[in-house]
Amino acid sequence: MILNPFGTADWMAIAPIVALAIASLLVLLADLVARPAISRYGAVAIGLLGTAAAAVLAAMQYGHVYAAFFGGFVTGGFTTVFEEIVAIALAGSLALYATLGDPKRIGGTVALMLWGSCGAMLMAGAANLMTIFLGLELLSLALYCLCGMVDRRGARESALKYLILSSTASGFLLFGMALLFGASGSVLLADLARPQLAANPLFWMGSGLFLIGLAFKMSLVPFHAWAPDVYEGAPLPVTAYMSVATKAATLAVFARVLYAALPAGTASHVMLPVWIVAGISMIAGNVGMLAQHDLKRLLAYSGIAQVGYILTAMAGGSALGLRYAIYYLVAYTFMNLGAFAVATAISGEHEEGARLVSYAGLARRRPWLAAAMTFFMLALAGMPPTAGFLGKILILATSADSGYAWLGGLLVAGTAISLYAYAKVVRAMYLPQSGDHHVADLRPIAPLAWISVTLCLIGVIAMTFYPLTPSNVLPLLR
Amino acid sequence: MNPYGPVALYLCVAFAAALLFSVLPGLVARRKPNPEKAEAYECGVEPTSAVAGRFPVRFYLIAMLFVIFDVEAASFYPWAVQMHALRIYGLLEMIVFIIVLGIGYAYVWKKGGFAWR
Amino acid sequence: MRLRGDVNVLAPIAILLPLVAGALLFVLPDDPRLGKIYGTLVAFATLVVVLLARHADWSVRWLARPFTAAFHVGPTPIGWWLALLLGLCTLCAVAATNLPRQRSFVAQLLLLEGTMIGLFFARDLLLFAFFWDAMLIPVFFVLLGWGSHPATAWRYFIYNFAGGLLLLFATAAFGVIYGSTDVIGQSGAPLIGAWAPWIFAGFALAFLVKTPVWPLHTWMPATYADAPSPLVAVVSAVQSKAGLYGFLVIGLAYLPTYVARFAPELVVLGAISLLYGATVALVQPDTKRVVAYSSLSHLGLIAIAIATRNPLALQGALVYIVAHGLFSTALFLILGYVEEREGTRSLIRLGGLGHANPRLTGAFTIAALAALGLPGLAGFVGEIVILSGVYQAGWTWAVIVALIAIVLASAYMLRLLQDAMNGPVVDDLPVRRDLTWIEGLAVAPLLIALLAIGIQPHAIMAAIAGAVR
Repeated sequence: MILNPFGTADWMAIAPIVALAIASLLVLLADLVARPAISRYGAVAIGLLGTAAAAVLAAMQYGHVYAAFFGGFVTGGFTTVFEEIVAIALAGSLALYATLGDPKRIGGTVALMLWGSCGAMLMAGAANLMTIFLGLELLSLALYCLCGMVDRRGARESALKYLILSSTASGFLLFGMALLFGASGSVLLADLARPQLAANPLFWMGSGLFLIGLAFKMSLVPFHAWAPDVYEGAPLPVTAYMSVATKAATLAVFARVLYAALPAGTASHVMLPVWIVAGISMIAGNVGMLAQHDLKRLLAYSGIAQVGYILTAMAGGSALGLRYAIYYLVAYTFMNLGAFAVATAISGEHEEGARLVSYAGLARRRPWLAAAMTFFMLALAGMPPTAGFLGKILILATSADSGYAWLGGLLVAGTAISLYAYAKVVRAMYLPQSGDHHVADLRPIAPLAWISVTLCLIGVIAMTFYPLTPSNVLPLLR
Repeated sequence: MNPYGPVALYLCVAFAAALLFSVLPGLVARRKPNPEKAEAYECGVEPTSAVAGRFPVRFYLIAMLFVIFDVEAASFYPWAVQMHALRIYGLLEMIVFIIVLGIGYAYVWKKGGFAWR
Repeated sequence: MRLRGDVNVLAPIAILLPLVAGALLFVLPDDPRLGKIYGTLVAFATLVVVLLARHADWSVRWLARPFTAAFHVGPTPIGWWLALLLGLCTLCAVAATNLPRQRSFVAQLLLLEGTMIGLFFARDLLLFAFFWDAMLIPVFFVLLGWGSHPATAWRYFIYNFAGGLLLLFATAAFGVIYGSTDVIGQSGAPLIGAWAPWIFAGFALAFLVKTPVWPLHTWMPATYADAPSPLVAVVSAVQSKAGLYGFLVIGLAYLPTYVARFAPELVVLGAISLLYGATVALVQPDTKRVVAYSSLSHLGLIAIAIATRNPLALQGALVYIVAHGLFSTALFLILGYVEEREGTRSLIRLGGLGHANPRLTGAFTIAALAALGLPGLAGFVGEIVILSGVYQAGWTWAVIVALIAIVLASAYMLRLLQDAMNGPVVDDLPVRRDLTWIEGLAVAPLLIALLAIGIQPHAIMAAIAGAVR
């Protein structure tokens, strides 16, 4: 006799995800009913309402740690924080999509973004291997389609590359999970923390493969080659979404594994390759940025390095480190979305904003946008008066504190390199222009993109002067 | 014995067998190639085109849609078998599932996914 | 006491006034005269606020973890003099500005002033690092927008930003070990522990790049030569002192043992800068580069004074910091006037300006005499006190090197004066256009201050008390 095994509390735990799913179905329904198809603003409005509902529902769970679905999904501070980051990324990219989206595909794209965010939010709270994989696949499948959601050769290339490479990584992840399951006999992450696993070779192999899968999704250096190509081809709003939401969701999984699912005393050994890889990413990502002429590629390489910074905060596994990692991640979310919002605001049908050439002389044509872009670039480079500056100093402080000062040193070196690349964008905007190859067909003011830019600016500035970091992100598991 | 012992043994045997059968012909077979033998075998008929032919990408679309609805049907079976045991909870779950799927079906239909153009 | 509360608020106002007013200027109509008048008024108001904010002390909490930090602003005695110097130099620089896109340039100057007042008013190390990096940004934009080579802007930015990163790293480590960064100008215990030498190394490198000291100076001559004179005046007069200020309030106060341990190295670097700068200045054909290399030489002397940690030398160092700020501002502004008129900075092409432009020549002569250390002017007081202090501390060879450099200083300054102002007229130069009364008024306060400090330097010397342990 099987009765309903789940109570109301279980369903409430995934309420934010359900809200997104419902919004997604509503967009599809509206697209079905409307003639000839749903309007841009209609679809995005439904999407934004769903996102707002999800954000509110997630915020209501803040602080209430509850292990739903037999421990498969844990709510509480940590999950809420990452769900909110995903919600911010989603709202930002939806707003950009309303400005720049292909009108023929608006319904499907918005629905896919919402579905993908369901996956990302599942990953944020996932506390067993199956939920992790479910969330990851939901997110990835949506992204494969999203990458190709525009009639461009590059977009198809991007989608196919992402599909093939990401599936390979999923294979690694899945094999790792299988070995971990074999070692522990349980899919729960909490059971991976049992001390006797430390002596089991299956556990070491499994966690190795698992981490390779995660490193791929986070685009850490030996596994990073896909990121620039995929970012370059994908539509601008999708790139904005991908650069933030995927990273946030994967970092959530990584943090949960690091902080809650390793046998005592093994963390420094299991994770050492990750720290090394993070250190290499900080250098290689920033060096890679130097040669780029495409904003999306540039930000892809920048993202590779920025993940390295976030991991530097987590190295050592201190509670404060996690808080600063989250602080920096939120700051990164705002800076990156802001940069993409500026790019969107000056883009037309051909995504002019993606090419650095289009920024030549922007300071004269659109002084406010140029100033905002300068600000975001400074923030990404870690200059004051931005949250990037404070985030970096917090990360440096924790890395020195927890004995990973060498990562801090690499961070400093990487930042020094990155400066030139970020300043290249700034220079293009402010240098007195000789040629006249700038974007003549500037779009009229795009309200939603401008609002996004403004909100991101406010976010980055506010975080500098009120550096709130969530205090109750631990415990991660029940 | 470790419960994974047989699995490991099986793995070794399978690997060894595969290796053996791929290497053995090269060692023992006698080779007398001629043009006819080297051709692709098509039931004795002379080959008329390249081996890997081109066909419409639509097949993939149809195949994908088929897989989706096929999987849907497959997931009905276990539910149907256990329907009485799952009771109202199972029924509700299935209804939600069908609604989600139905919207997707209608969407594909409206967007012309089933039209053979 | 009510008045006391009012005074404290002046510290953040002194920082925000030029920042906000500068940002606002970008929005105002693009009219060159409006920009200049507005900028002059704001710079004057800022100077008054700084003057009144001498005892201000204002604080709001910023971070609680991993170390405590606060938006704690209020001048240290040394910082107040530097801020005052900055206020005066900016006022003169704004008044002397005469450039294309004047409004934006003045706005950048005001932003630079705001960030640098923030630096000198910061009582929190993290805030110090914050303004340290922030003050690079306006200079970078000016170099990009008004400089003659973009490469100069990059070199300036990358050198100084690399220094800023080291400072950031050192600050983070300092905060973690010390528990708080709210330390500047407060009597905390010195920092000790295994990390302390590394932290000192980070600070020291950042400060040495900024000053600059040989061999980290290579960004400096190009920057000083390429940038518009009003900006160079402020950068050479005040921004270059940020590193020395850092040595005084952080190095001497919190890492005194390491300053003592590395004193020989610092003195050697200072001595090399001193001689190298003076020698190169002797043969440079470019007027602004002559003054740039003379700055390298003068700042080397100050670095020596700080490294010896002798109280007398430190008093001299502070006087000389202020004096150098005044005469280098005056020199750069005047050379800017010359460049504006004649369209060249080359000593080979200049000549005979003096007969046509007596007021210009007069101002130039006073500034140059201050630079070569004429008794009665501020530069002399600084030099003589530093030399006595360094001798007292036992660095006789450094004193000898400094004396050689001072002789060289007379040579290159007189050469500059001679080649540009006297002698036969070269080519079709000079243009007969003497200083207008505004231009004259812009440099007059600097020259008066040079004379005043030369006669009465005690107020500045008193500020140094308590800086050394």
